[in-house]
Amino acid sequence: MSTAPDWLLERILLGEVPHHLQARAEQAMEIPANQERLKELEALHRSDRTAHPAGEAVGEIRRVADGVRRADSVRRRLARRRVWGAGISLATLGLCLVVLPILPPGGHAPPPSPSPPPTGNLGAPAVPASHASSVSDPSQTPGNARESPRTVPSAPTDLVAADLSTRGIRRKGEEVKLQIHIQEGMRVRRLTDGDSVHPGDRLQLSIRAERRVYVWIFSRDASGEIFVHLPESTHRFLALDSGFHALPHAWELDGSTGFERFWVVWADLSFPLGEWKERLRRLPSDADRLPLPPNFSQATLRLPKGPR
Amino acid sequence: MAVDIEELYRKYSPMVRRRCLQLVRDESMADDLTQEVFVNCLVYQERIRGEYPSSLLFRIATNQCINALRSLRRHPVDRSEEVLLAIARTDEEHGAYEARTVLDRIFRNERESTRVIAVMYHLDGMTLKEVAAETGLSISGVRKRLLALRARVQGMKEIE
Repeated sequence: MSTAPDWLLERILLGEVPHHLQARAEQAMEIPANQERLKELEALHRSDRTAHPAGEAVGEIRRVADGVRRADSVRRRLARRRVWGAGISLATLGLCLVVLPILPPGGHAPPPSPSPPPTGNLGAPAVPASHASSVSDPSQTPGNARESPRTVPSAPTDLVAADLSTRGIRRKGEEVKLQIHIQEGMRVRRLTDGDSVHPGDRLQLSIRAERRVYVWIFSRDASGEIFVHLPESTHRFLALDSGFHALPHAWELDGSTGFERFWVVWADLSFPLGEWKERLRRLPSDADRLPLPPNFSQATLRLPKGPR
Repeated sequence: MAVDIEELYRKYSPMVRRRCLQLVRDESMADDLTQEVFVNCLVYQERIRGEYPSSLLFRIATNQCINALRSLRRHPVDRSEEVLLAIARTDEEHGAYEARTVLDRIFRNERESTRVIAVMYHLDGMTLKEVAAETGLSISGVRKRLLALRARVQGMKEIE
């Protein structure tokens, strides 16, 4: 048997060798090199205890643990409220269903919504008429070299080629909100556009969506480098149901300075990210709007970033 | 049963700190992570039952470190490189490429328990039986997770 790993020797040192490791531990201790290493580990443990006395550390651990418990309790309370809120909404809906049929004809019922405009060939849900009418898209002008007959391109290549100028940008800021919180010791503070951050700051990103959408969240720093925050594992826009979604991981800012700009881009369909990222790299690093085709929306936060 | 955090810290913090240091290779980060391990221990003390504290703390520390390394992907210097290389050394037949991809998968989109399993198996050199005992899963469960992970990595490799 060769030299035993430290994790095994540490269990031996602590006198906590589980049953499944007994045989391996006994064999390990027959080897002189392991006995030597065990002595070294014992000395290392002693010096570690001297360098990190329990008294100071445990006080801090208790304080942090109390903070975590309080935060957990607030989260649970909020979750309960959401459940109650959903229940009340359902009850209201039920009541409406019962009451509406008994309203006299020509009563106060609102007229039906206008039909949405036709969708693209991918069958994406239509853009609400109010939004569609506010879009000023010269690419729809006959004879325009960049004319794009489709509102929803069918593939990323088409989508990018359709028109990556700034025309046609729509900001449906209320549909999806990007929130960024910063951890400051025991406190957590929500950042707004223009708030300063520093290298080493820990940021937690979250999204509040009014409806089911496909999103892509990324950030760019002053050098133009792009970091994708969501999706983490796939290479397509990620589906998010309506509601609040905290990203699974906080992010620690690196040492670059200038600014960090965070973006959320959303659409009704999922698209691959590859070409998007490529085109983004060619944009000025401080671009404050993304040249998106119709049916894509965006929101952004710019955080100036300087040394602490 | 309430946890005597002072006693736990006094006895096990050297082991926890060494584990963190082994994975993250940064002393101040290892100190922070050690503290987080004991914070978790205190917050979720009701989950501690019937096993040696060293086993539990080792597992929590492993998981905390993996999570910390994931967040470090944001840094210009990727410290996970060290872990990568360590994995590459323990699994020569698959080479550095696969080790890199495995780790990337582990850090990005595998289940938390699968990440811990993979680190224990590939990096710590534990056997399937030992990993199973450490994580409370069955041996076949651990084997399945590792095989599935390898298959996904292989699939990724073929796509690329």
